[in-house]
Amino acid sequence: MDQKIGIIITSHGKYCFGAVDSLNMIIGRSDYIKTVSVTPTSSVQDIEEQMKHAYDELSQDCKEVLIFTDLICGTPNNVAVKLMMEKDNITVITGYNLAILVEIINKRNCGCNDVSELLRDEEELFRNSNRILKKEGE
Amino acid sequence: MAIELVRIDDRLIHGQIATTWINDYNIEQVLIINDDVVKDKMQQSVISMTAPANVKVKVFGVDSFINIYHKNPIKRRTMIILTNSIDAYKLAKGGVKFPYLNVGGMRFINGRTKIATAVSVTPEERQAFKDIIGLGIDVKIQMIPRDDIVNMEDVIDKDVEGER
Repeated sequence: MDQKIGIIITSHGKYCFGAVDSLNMIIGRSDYIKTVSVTPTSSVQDIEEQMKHAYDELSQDCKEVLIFTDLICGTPNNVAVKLMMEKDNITVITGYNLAILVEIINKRNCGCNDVSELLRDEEELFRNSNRILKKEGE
Repeated sequence: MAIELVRIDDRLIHGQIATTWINDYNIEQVLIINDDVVKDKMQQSVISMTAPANVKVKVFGVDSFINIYHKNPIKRRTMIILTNSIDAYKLAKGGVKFPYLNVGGMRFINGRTKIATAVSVTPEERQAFKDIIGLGIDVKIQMIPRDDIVNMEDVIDKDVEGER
């Protein structure tokens, strides 16, 4: 099994596609990155299937999966968080831009295989759904 | 202070709701009325994350909400979210008062027929909309405020072929 952390980038509309397009321009094409785009007409079932499919494909080679979502209150995040609650190797991060993706994915590509290490310096820039849920549960 | 807005949206609380309708209507609490969600603790955890910080979210089953509605007057500025027209009709028939029903999304899944962008209905759901209109309730399709409004009456007998 490859040690690399699998990455899913999801958004309302085409933001995720654009983000990966720009990311590829900057750091070149990376493997183990998948995108899931929520359109105005996609049903929640559609999105759940797509997210699960992306997770299953990545899981063939990756032990951990990171899901980047655009808004804390959106369907992409809702679906990602539900999946995260069902599995034990998913971290959901809300709030990404090119700078964050370049930083984190570059770090991953250079051999960082530990999720907490990967996310360490970035904590102020985005919201970690795993932590939020943990706090709510306390 | 009372029910400010009743909306059908099968995505419940999500980006469009949290950032537009809640702000536009100064909503203080959101009631999700749905028999499936009330049983699903995981879904409720997810929902607890999605509402803006100063908005309370509560989940009720359809019948139990109708009971509570008659016993306790609603004091806060409230938005009700349903996922389908059948539940909306049950509420109206059960005496929950609302003059206007906003339809945001009943998205296409197997068994439904598309009648407008983001609105698809089963035969039962189609009939429920007709019954709601028959009760004198104004039913309009509008995803987010400032979007174009479509009168449900104008499209309820439609069948948009070949699209999803």
